[in-house]
Amino acid sequence: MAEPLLRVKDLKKYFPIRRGVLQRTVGYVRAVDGVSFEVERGETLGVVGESGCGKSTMARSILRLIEPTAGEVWFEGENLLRLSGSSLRHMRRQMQIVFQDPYASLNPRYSIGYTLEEPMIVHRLHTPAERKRRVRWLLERVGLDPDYAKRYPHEFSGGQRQRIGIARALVLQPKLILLDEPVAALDVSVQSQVLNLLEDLQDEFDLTYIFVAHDLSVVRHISDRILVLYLGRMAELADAEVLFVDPLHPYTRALLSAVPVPDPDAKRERIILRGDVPSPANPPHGCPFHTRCPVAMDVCRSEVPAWREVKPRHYVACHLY
Amino acid sequence: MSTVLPNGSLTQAAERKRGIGRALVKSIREYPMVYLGSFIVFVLIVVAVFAPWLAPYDPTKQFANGLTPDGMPVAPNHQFLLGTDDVGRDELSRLIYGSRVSLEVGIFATFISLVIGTTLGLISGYFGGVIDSVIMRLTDVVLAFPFLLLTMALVAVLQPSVTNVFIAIGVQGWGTMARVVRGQVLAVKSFEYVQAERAIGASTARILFRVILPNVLGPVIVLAALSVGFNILAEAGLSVLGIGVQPPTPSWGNMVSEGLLTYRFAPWMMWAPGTALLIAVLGFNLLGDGLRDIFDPRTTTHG
Repeated sequence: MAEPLLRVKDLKKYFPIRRGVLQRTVGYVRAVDGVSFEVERGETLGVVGESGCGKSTMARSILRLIEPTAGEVWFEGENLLRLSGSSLRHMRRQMQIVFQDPYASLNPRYSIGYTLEEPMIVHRLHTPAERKRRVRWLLERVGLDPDYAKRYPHEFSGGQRQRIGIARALVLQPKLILLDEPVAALDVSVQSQVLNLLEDLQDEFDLTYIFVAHDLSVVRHISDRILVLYLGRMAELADAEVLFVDPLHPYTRALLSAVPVPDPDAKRERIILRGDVPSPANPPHGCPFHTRCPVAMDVCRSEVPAWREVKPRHYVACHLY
Repeated sequence: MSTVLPNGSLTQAAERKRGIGRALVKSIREYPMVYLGSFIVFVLIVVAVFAPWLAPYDPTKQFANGLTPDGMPVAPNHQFLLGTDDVGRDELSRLIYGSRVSLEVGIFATFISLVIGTTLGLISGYFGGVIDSVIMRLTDVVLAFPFLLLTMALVAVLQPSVTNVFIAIGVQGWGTMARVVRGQVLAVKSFEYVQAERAIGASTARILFRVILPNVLGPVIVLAALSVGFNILAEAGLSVLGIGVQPPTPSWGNMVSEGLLTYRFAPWMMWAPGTALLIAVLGFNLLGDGLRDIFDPRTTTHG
């Protein structure tokens, strides 16, 4: 098999908890705790999990928008975590991000045109006239009027802003785009439009996506493979259709049972998880999920389950298998 | 439109797009004190700039008829509108030329504090950690030090002169600025559009000066206006004590100082520069307070 576009190895991000006058570190919030996966060229990897399970932190750590505590991120043969200064900024051309909140992610003082032009200015690409032309072309590609370049973010709706955010991610012709809950803040009707746009763009520009979301039906629609995170750790990784038909991890099953089915007569078992997600500052011993797991065994309380390929291309971390 | 604004200063940005003119008219109607303050400041600047044309006489010229036969200052009359001082110089001309020193010190000292304070505040807020702690403790030291004591020490070392006075005042005034800027930076840097800048590969300098700085300027401008008033007063205070601007260069401070000695016989010598100081400081404070009201979204009645 060809070298994957992105290889993440044992990525960790611990946030220190400081207390007292001297700001001593009294513990760590383990937001991302040893995540490893690969992303093939042209595929879409969905990443799901509850709020606070470290999805966004993971995405931003890969881009080094948040500095990871440990691990390796290999992108086209280079370890991003080893790069510094200008070489890192140069690599950023290859990988971009679309943020969740389309209201906070656009600078209110910049016109749309400047927002889209700035990446090219920063990387000294093209002449001013070419840049302007590319901005107009991009606006058209994401389904907006090229004349919007002169306007400012506050004049647009959430869906339009998110299209602008997507256009900004495309300006530098990246190979990989991290989508950090790109549709979570949008109306359902607008969500599907933006998802379709993302799929069209992926085909047109040979993009590779990492799609972070908490909404399983959205992820199912767009992903080739899905990674399930729980408390900053990997629970399960499988091809999207396999995961939905044959989920192995009890947590994945619980998540899937919460997805609404458009058939009122459909009978199915609804697994309700009791309690809240444990604090990542003080994760449970053994399997992080054992406190809420309906089928927890004794071994789950004492031993961390290994990450294993139990079926071809289907990985899970659970003592049941 | 009133969408959820992640940043208070957005209201201004939005308003600016709808036309500076209309926003200005609106703010004048809502904040008449700003109008008064800007008017005073404007007059002050005009007087200082056009002093040679406005002043009836040379401020250092001693008139033969500028003293009474028994050697006392002449009271205000049709030739000397504000009277003369104890060596027979025209008080009005000195007052007009004195505005130059006051404004100079006020503005240059503020400029020095502004540059130091904004730079340190930006660095402190953006980088955080040890750098932040060091800069903030340094700020604490500067803020905790008695202002007059340090200024006197500085001027004594540097020799009293107009330039040294504003350096001495300026290098102390940045503490508050640094704190305010730091606070703003902490708020602004958490917005996703700042992360977006990093994601597109913008350099730290670009993010600091092109993205964050414009967003922290509002409160800084307010503070600067207030600080000009304070610095004018500081110069006067130093000059009254005799360690500020040295005669014969007229400054409102040393005029008050001269007036102190002859207060019983020639009260106009203190009243004139004293009133001028009062009005000037009032003008800058009204301007600063008014700008704060306009910039601070919590005190705006609209938006």
